[in-house]
Amino acid sequence: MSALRNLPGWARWCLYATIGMLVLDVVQGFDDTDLLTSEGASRAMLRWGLPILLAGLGGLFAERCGVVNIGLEGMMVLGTWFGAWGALEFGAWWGLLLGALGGALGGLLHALATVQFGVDHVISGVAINILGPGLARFLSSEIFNQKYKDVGGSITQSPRVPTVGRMTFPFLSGGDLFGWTTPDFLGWFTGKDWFLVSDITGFARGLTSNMSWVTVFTLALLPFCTWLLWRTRFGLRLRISGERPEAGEVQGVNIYLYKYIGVAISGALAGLGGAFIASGELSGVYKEGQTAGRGFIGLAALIFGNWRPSGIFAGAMLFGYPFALDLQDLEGKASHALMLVTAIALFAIMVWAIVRKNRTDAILAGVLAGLALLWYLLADTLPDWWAAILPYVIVLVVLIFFTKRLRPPAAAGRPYRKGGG
Amino acid sequence: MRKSKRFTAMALVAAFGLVAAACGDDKESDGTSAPTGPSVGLVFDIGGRGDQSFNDAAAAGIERAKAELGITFTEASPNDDGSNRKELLDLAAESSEVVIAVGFLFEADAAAVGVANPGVTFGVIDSAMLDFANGAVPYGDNIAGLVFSEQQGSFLVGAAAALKSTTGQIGFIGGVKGVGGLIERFEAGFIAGAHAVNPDIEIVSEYITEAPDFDGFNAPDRARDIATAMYEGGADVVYHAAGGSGAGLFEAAKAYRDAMNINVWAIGVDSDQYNTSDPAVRDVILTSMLKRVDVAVFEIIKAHIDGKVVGGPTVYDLSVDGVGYSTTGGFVDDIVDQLEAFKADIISGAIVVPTDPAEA
Amino acid sequence: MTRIASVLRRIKTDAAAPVMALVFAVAASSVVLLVAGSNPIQAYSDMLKHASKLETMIDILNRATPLFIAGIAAAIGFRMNLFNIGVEGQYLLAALVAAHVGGLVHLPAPLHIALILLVAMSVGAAYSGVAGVLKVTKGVHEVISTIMLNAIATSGLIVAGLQAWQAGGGLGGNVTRVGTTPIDESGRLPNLNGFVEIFTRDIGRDRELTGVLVVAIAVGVAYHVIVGRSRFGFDLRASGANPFAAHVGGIPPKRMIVTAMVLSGAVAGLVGMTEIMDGGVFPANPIQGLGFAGIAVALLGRNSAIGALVAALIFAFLDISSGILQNTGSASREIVQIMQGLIILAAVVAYQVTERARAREEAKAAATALAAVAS
Repeated sequence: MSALRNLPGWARWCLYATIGMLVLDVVQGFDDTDLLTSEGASRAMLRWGLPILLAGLGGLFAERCGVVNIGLEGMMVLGTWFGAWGALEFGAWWGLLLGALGGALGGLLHALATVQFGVDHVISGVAINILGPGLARFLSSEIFNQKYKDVGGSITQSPRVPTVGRMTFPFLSGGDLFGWTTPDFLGWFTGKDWFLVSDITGFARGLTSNMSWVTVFTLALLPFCTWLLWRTRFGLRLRISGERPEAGEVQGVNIYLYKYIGVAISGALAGLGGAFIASGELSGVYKEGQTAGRGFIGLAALIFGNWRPSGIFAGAMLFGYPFALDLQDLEGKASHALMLVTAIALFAIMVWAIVRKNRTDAILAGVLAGLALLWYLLADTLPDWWAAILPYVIVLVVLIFFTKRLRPPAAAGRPYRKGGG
Repeated sequence: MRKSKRFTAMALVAAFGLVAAACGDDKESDGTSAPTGPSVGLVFDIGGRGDQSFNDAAAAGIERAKAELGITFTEASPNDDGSNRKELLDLAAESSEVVIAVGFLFEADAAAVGVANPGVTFGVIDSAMLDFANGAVPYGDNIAGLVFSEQQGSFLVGAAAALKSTTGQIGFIGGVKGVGGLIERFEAGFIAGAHAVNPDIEIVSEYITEAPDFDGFNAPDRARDIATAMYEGGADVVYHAAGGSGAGLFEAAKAYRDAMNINVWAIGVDSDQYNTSDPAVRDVILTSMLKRVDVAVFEIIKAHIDGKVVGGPTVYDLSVDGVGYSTTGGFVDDIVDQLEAFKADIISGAIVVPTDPAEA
Repeated sequence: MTRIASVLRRIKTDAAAPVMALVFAVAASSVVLLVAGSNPIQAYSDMLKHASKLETMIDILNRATPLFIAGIAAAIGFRMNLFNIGVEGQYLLAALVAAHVGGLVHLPAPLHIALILLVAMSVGAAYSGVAGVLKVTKGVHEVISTIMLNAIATSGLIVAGLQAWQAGGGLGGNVTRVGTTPIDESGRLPNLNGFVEIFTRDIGRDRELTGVLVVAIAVGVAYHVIVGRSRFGFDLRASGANPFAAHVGGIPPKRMIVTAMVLSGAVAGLVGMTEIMDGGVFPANPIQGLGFAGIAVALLGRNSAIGALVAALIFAFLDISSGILQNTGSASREIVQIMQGLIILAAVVAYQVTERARAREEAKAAATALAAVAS
């Protein structure tokens, strides 16, 4: 155990990932499927996880500057509408930009209410969740149902939305570099069909090839947000607004301004998430109700990730993986295999709890593991509804055992008045 | 503090009351010009006019009735959660001679309002309007159920799929499972039709969500992933009965065809989706299963004018062209003869199409 | 004299908030209506004329009843600083189980009704209690756990329950009505038309005032008395306002959290009663979203019973108005949703502004008084 702790972070994560792949690899053999470690699964995991990541990052910026943002869902809805409209009107990249701006509009409204008028953060968020869909529908009836009526637009739906191009990483997965097709290393390994190695490279290839530029851009946002919040003066001031605004004020930070900016960025990120959903990467069309609560899931990812970008990313992927897998799993083999994975993970948690001498956790994990194993053994296929709720169950179970001392920003949700103390 | 809240509440009520009093009696009647035909109140399903499918078909029917029968009409669609269905029917019944409710979700409410308004004709799409609790008798002589044999239309597109498939594998995507067996009928017909052409054909079926989770009708992104998985798994024709999610199927078919250069197809539903979809994806739409809601709407209004309304179910099946398949785009021109032969067999009763996927 | 002046000032500031909110919401909605090419005055007059009819009032009350109960359920959590997003899943699950149990048993009316209410409250309380227990034992934030539990209920437990418990029937070729076994007449609350008609003319056509209104009133009164007047209510509010101080004062915060979640869930369990007590079944297409609407009602009503009542009536009025707007063609129905959002925002902003104005005025008054004493 101590040897593990001495490893640098990246090495530890690589080790965990390898162990995880090994488990997936072995388990899927029992169910005679290779979906769990397939290139398609990892690519889809990314696709389905990214909107949640963006919503989570949106929540991060708001809460880091001290504003709770329940309105992420409403801002995301605005993002889907403006994203589709922008893409139709001006082109794919403009769609993303306008989607972000649409979300930022919701963010500014939230900031106006919470920062300017000191309104309860939750109440303003709820109002935005009601306003967002209402406004989107209203705009659809004015624009999609009129100007775009003949090409598939309607009061609930936009015409087909143009999409940005795709890219494949050079060298890693054989992308083009200035017109020269680089060697496809991961593809070469995957083709060899070596146990474990080929599965890992295949999975990695899904994360590095044939990905939309939106995906690349969104992934790049992750380190950028970390850098912005923790390595810059701007980030420090933003975080002070959320931790100890009074102290910041003493030092001459314009807390209001930073809160405004933070909440606007929050809305923009949620809006970008919405635009992503409407873009060709996921839907290729605006459809009323298509966010399906992903703003709320983003909020959950934020808490799951302990208000840190890397944690939010982990939460989003943990959610995206089983969700995406279920869609590709036409024969029900993968969701059956995932049951065994769940059981193994729970047994691991049990062992971990025993080592930690945490009796209640050990018993709880043991019982859950036993139940999962029993279900796996007794049923050949699992009911469809089980696959539908699996992402939620996993997140809940992980939280039950690993809610380490999560620490929200100290002043999140607290109304702040200039000079109010 | 407490007192002030109470006062606040009273003030709010008073304010509303004042405005109500001020506006309450400024106008007496709207004074519309005298219509030649009866007045009709059309109540849409959730989504309302402009959904390019079910509701728009009903709208087309009433527009035709307006043009040909000289009726006047009002239209309304319920709140997103469907909480005001009954209120909308009540409103329509107060001002119209004919009330048309689009969708079986109206069944219970339409029965109640219909019984209370015996002078008004009620037409409910997709419900038989039979009182099963009392021995399956019609709720009333004025309450007609307009039901469709979707399984028959689905049989024909299933046959078309099997005839067009070169891989021997086809797919079905349903929107929401467990909504009164409605979507399952599409699946049953599709499977039966495909098997009638090729008993060995492999059919993959997948539903996006299950009741009471209705996201499955609004999830083009999920439909797209499912369809892509089907195409990648070897299916080359996929049929959807998933409402607004269908756009995702067309998108997947288009993308797969462009990327792999394999001629995969998608099949639309309810209306002729070749005409309503984005021009860029039209060339992947093999055909559409037509459900002539417009015909049913038009005919119930005509029946009212002629005094021929019958309580209980009126079935719109292949024999009256209540369901069918579209030929727009010309992709099924080469197999029309075979499809017409199946159609004749179904109409004559030589083929009985099942309604339960388990029997197909 | 000064007393009267202060009372007058009080009235001025008290009335200012709702009037401001109303004026702002109406003005903003009018702009939207004008942009959409509708006549706002026509639309508002249609809405109010419609709402002044007895039958429409019944509709509004029927809609307001579950909204109000959901609002109280959310308010109980808010009082304790708990954000119970899970009202949505709790009421749907509770309604499903209650409808199933109610359809299975045959009992005399009072017992049957009591059993159904009890089952609904227990299921709601238990499901909400899970979030409470997870919070105090594992530190899982109630927002995230209730979001997960909502999804697990609507996409999982209720799907499985509906499949297992649905009552068949219907003819081949027609849509089967899906839902649980119908509850006997004895298990349904009678409508209140007879009671209303004592005071009014006969209620026209098929309008029935839901009997669940009585349950809602009982919930409202109980909430008002328990939270506002009892020792427990004091503890709850104290613990919500400052758990550390309350803990020092002898109020166990963990137990208060679980109790508040359980109570909130128990009330949430009653939200679905309008659906199953009137219709007699839990349908495959239950009315959803009441939980989220309840949060808005609680917030607009500032967590008080009377505030929630007013908020529920306003929301119900707007919901019902969407019908008449479409019927007369005076406006599209989206405007109703936009108005609801605007009203919430306008109301809270107005509250906040007047509160500040009052604080300023009080400070000024105190300063004047102080100055008077000093001189």
